[in-house]
Formats: sequence, C-alpha cells, structure tokens
Amino acid sequence: MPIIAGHGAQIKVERNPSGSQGIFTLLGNCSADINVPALSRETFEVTDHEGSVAQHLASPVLDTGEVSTTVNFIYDDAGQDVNTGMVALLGANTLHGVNILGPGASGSWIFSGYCTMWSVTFPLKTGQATAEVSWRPTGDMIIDGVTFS
Amino acid sequence: MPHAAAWHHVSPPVSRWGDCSMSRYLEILAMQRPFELPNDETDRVVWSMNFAVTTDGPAPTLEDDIGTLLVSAGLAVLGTDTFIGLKAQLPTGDGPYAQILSPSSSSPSETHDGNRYDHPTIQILVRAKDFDPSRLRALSIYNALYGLRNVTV
Repeated sequence: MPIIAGHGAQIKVERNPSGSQGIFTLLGNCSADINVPALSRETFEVTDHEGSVAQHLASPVLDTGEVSTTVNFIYDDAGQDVNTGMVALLGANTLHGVNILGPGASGSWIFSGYCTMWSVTFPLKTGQATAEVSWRPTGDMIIDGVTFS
Repeated sequence: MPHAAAWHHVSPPVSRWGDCSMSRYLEILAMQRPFELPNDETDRVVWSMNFAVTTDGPAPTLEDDIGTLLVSAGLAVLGTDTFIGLKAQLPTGDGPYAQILSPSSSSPSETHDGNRYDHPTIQILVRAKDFDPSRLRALSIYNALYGLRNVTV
C-alpha cells in the first residue's frame, strides 16, 4: 500500500457498553487531527560496574497514550450530547470502547477507555463552536486484529 | 478486554454537501468599514466593502443569497437598485446602485467525515451621482450584513 493522506480517518465510540456492547458509532464532525494511542515502553538503565557500555531494559508493561481530537460542536448531536453522547459517557465515568480507523481501511485501533475531557469553546469573533475531547485508554488494545495484552 | 468481540459499524452520516436546496451561512463578517474608491467611468461616487463568509455547505448562489438578505432588510430591489456579478448592466442614473461580487476565496476547512466549509469573500460596490447617497447606502448595507451568523437562505 502506498503512502496515504491522513484525511478521512474515523473515531467510533461504543455509546452503550452496558447495553449493546460492541456497537461502535461514528463520532462525526472531527475537524482536527486524530491521533491513535501512542505505544511506548519505559526503559531502565541496568549498567553495572563491570560494564563499559550502558545497558538498558525495556519495561514489560506497554503504555498507551491519551487520544484527543476536536469536533465541531453540535449541542443536540446524539454522539455529543448529555443523553447519549460524549458528555453522558464522561459524566457517568463509563468505561467504553473506542475504535479509530485510518482512511481507506489503513488500520484499526480498538481500545477501552474513559472519556477524560469534553471542553466546548465559542469563539468571540470568527470560527465555529468546537469541542475538545480526550480519552485515556486502559488495558488491552486490538491493532489490526492483533491483541496487545 | 475491549468491547470488540462482535461489533458492527453504524453508517457514517451522509455529507450535507449534496443538498443545494438551501444555503446556510455560519458567518458573514465585514473585513472593513465601507471606504471610498475613485469615481467610476460615469463619474459616480463609489463606495466599497468586503465581507468574509463561511458557508456550511456548497452555497452555489452566494451572491444571490446576499441580495436576498438585503431585500429582506429592506435595502435592495434586485434588478432595480441591486445587481449581481461583474457583467450586470447598471443603470446610468443617479443611483445609488449596489453591485454584489465574489472576488476571491481562501482554502476551505473540512472534517474527516466529509463536511466542507467554504470561505469566499463578497465585495459590494455602491455607486451614486452624489457622495451622501452613496455613503449612506453603503453604510446601511454594511450594518445590515455585518455579524450575521447561522443564517439559512
């Protein structure tokens, strides 16, 4: 597959994890970059006195970074609002699934996480109302069908 | 474990780009207060103003829609004292006559799921034989259009 433009990625959210598990609905109107959770391992130096070259170990624990983006704010959008949307998930502190899809079937990241921020801005002079949204992944991830646990 | 054992995707919303029956404008913002240009070829006083527009969708009849807004404000009679486009034949009378043009645009903004917001500019020229009528009509149009937001035409 050749290199691709990044436009057309999708974030899909499991709005009702306690009821209809595993159904992901598009979070529409994403107007900013969409980042997938960064994967990282902490490293520890374990050089001993006999060593002349530094030695390191990578942590067996894989860390996943926060996910954030910006959407055009639509107050009565079911994906955003206080009844069924991100505000509801944030308010209830509900662990839910998130699926990020690259454009043109160029990758899929699925994780469970908590919505940690929903911040609405109404510009004074120009520009549409927007909302910043963030998630903190926790636990296993599925990347292109491969489980990282 | 993520809740992903058996999942189905809800179809993404269809882009509103295909619906051209009505045009929606997020913002119509004046780029400056009306200012005077050199007199035109018939020695009429000319005032000019520019607006930065953000459209929610294609807005294929932007210039006409601006005219419609001015009609609604009681400031225009299309084809009589208000005209659309550079090729419009303005009367040779004393005026004031307004002309609605769309001289430029900047790059659209968009969302990942296909919504597009164009950023055209609108220029309105007002011509009249005398200074006061030209300025008065220009300022009236400026005040009527400035700061219009979330309007559908």
